[in-house]
Amino acid sequence: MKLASVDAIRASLEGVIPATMATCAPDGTPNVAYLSQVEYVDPDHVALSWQFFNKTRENVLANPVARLTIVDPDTIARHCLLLRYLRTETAGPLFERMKAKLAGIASHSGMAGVFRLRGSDVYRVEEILRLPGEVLPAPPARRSLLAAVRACVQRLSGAGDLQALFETALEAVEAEFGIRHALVLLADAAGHRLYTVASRGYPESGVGSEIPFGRGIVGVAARERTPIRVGHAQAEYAYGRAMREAALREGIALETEIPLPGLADSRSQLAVPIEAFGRLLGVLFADSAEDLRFGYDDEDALVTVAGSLGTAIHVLQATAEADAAAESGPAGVPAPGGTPVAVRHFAENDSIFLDGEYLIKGVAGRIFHALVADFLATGRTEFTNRELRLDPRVKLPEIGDNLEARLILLSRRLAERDAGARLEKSGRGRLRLVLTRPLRLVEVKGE
Amino acid sequence: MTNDPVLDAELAAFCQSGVSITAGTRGAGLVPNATRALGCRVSADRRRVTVFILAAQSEGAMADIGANGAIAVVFSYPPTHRTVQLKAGDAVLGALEAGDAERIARYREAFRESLVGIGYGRGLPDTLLAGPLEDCVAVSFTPSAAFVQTPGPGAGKPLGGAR
Repeated sequence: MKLASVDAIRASLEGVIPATMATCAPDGTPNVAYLSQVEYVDPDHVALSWQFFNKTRENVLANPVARLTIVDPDTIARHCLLLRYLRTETAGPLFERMKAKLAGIASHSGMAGVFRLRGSDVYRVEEILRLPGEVLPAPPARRSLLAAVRACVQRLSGAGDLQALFETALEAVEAEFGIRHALVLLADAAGHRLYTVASRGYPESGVGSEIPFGRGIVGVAARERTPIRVGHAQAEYAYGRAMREAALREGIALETEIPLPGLADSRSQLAVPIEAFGRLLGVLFADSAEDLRFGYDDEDALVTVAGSLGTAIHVLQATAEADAAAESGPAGVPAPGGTPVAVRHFAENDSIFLDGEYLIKGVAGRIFHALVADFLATGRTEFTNRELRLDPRVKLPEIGDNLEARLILLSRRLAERDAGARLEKSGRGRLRLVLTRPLRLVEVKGE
Repeated sequence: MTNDPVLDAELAAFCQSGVSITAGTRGAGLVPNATRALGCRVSADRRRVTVFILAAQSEGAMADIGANGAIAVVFSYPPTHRTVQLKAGDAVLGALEAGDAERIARYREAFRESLVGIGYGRGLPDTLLAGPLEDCVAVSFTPSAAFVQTPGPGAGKPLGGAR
């Protein structure tokens, strides 16, 4: 039986059962090799991992036709693909997707340190034949992913502000896809890093934690703007302590006080870029303690959800400030009594400590510093997003920076620290500093 | 050129154990084909190797062998990834001989053990090797070279015994 598209047999490309590849030297000598990795590129193309200078590679460079046999891990159905070698990619999204996935395959098969991706060999699929023979019954589908995507997108469209949008997105991926551990991170393009704005399913929220572009699965997904998916536990892309320490050693300034949330026994990870109108806005990240939890179809589903999320972020960010009233609201809320909270501001990196405990630094630190300074000078507790955006003390890194997301991050950190100061939305594009204790600002200059 | 066979006793035993076996061939336009084998027989003098394939799944490979006799057969033991490839230019198709039916049955058991031992269900080996005995064809050849193919930088090197 002839098939028209590689889409229909993508489950056979997850690397559960090694594929075999037959090639032929120009002198007519055939060769057979086992392959650890075949990657779906599009309905007419696949890519094979080039790891060693071997006979297979020598043959396809000289005689570009090859016969690939792949096995469906559930039904054991086999397909023979006639391939034609086109090119080798040694950088970019396809290469990075394969490199990350190979790290998982290598670790799972005891080949960590042996398998190393030199290049992604791209082939055109010229024919797909189903081999006759026995097959096992297909397992029942978990559910229709298309229906799950539809439900997710519908939920997202109901969110009225960014805070609600992030919470809705994480609730929806749990309810519709059964993904219980997930993060939303937003991109700080100027700082070449991502910061966590929402999380679900971890013991610590990790809101405010950071990942540099290009580091770990999340950082590579952001830098290459492509989904990165790993199906087995591995060390190479672990985005926890080791990754962060390596980045710090290389002089990358990073949030170090807030630990990244993550599963200790994570096996499957999927990071999907959140984009809108050609810009990277962030990354949606999911992980699971199950091997091979996320397949090609799950990846497509989350990419679609992330697309909808990206558009919603873009729109809600724009409307938040457009709707804000120009004048600030009334002052005159009575000041609370009690022992003042010591708000220590370190000018060097704009880090803020409340009663000696770390709160936040960077842009969110400058915002809080400005709010506290204004409150202490004038008694004001009502502010607008617009004035903060224009406030020279806040020094937003760029016009496109997501101020609203920084405010969500700050208010979330304040709520988690619970030290007598909170931020509340008091309307569209407006916020209120809510105090249960008086504040005392301490400026710390230099070291 | 010496007269030692390409296979020593240890390699002959390896090829006849519960290893995964795939044969590669090629047609007139140097277009390759491949098919899975269901076991292996090595002659007493270790010069002649025979693998068994299913005709229904081996249309291309059988046509290639009939046309030119070029063959490459890879033997790989999943638990250790140890992999060896034999090459020959004189492959011919034939019928099963006395004892081959038992050999195939023993092979199915051994292959199942290799895979179940590393965590696969029985369904994988049993389905991969399913097929009626009447459909089995013997492919015999005289290996002219053997190569190490265990994944790693040493892959592709000729084995010590290779001529």
